[in-house]
Amino acid sequence: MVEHRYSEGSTREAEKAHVSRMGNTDGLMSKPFLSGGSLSVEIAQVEIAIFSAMVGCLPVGPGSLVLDLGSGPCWVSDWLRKLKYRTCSMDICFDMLRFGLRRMGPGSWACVADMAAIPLSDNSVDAVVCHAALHHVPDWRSAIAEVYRVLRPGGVFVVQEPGRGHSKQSESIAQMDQFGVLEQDMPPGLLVKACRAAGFSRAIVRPVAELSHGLIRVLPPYAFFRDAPRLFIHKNIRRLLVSIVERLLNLWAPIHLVVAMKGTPYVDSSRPDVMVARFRSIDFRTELNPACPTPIRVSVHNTGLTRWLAEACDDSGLGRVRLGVSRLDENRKIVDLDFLRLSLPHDVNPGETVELSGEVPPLAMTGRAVIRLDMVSEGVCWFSDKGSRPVYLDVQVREQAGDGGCVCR
Amino acid sequence: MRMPIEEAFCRILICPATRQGLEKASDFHLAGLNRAIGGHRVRTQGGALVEQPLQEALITKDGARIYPVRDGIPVLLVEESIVMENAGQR
Repeated sequence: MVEHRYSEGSTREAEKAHVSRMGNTDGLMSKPFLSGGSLSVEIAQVEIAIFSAMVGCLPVGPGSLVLDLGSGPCWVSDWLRKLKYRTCSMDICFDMLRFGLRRMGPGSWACVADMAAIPLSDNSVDAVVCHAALHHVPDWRSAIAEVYRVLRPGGVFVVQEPGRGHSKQSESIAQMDQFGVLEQDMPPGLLVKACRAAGFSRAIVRPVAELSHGLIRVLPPYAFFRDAPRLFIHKNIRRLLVSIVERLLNLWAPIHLVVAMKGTPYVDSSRPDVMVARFRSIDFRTELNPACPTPIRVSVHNTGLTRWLAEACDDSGLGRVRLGVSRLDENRKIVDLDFLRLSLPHDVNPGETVELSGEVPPLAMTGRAVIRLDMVSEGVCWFSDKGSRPVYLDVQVREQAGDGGCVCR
Repeated sequence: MRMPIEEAFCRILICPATRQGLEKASDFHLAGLNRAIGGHRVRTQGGALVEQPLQEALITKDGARIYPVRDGIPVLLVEESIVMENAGQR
């Protein structure tokens, strides 16, 4: 770490006034793409590769709230919004955010704030991204502590900062001399230690490798492994190989991400991994009255690797998990796929069990029928499509049906 | 172009100095504050004289501190906040 050249107060004021001293601001609106010769194709390639790698490290899906820390002109926020994430852009420079809001349009969330005193309530965001901003902050360890505070349990902090030697580069020296901003070396090992000290349960380094001749490759997911015949490479073996390659690449890759986790970062049902449900108990009558609703109470265990969201993060409803009750005929042919939905009372993490209850509407027929229970992630998939086993309940519908036997599994 | 702050955004914002929740300042608060600003009696916590009247602002739950909102962007810096007792008395 290079010693600070300036006092904390002066760098802070320099950051606040950065845009007003810039002169040509055309590049702010078009970043990371070229504008007025302010960027080279190679730099644009690097920026795009870093963004892609950062998104790849987010376990949460569209609709989740991502804090873009030190957002500058908000191009990362803008792109995340195009991927249907909700974003909150934060920067100490008001003029930067004005550019950002012009770029993102109405309804964007942005606020001027100091990273070392983030004005968000505890556990309020699903993820935090920070692209090349933390190294401008004198009190950057406090900023990491603040990130930990505002992240919800299971949230992740994805940060990319320049590594060793950055503060001695001619461009950095020019920035410090001309604008009075702070430039620091922030190697990934230092960030990892700081994240752990702030309370993060795990912090890892992921490479964004730059190959020769300006050719940029974001290594995971590695094209080599992705293209290999799936029959011969099991997913876990692939992961292990990727991990080994990643560690080797960490030795020489010039660009790194640090991914810090607050607790276990389950992917959620809007961007699912394995989604499996096991029905532990079902209380439901086997003899139904054709004119009366029938109460049902179900206990479901999340045996997969995906956090079930009780509520979608936006109006689209995408990723909201509910119990889907389908009506089938006695030959198990679908009569009404979306016969009933029961909502979760709260989010359900892997390993947790949830109790659901409601009333199945009258079937308005007599004879034999089948009720199928399956969990569904709205707008994403039925769990049975992903290998989870639905439950089929054979029922008899007859007039004057009283309290029939309960099905318990 | 001035865009009002969304309610959902406002709900997660807190005061960086006291960590209290924030809410939109009422027209009553703004009118009183803008009268004081017009009389050159309002300074930010950082000591700068506030010269422009506020169109929109966020106020802490206890009403003791106000943060300006400019062009729809809350400015949540302690040094740019206005401590309310200063607003009326200076």
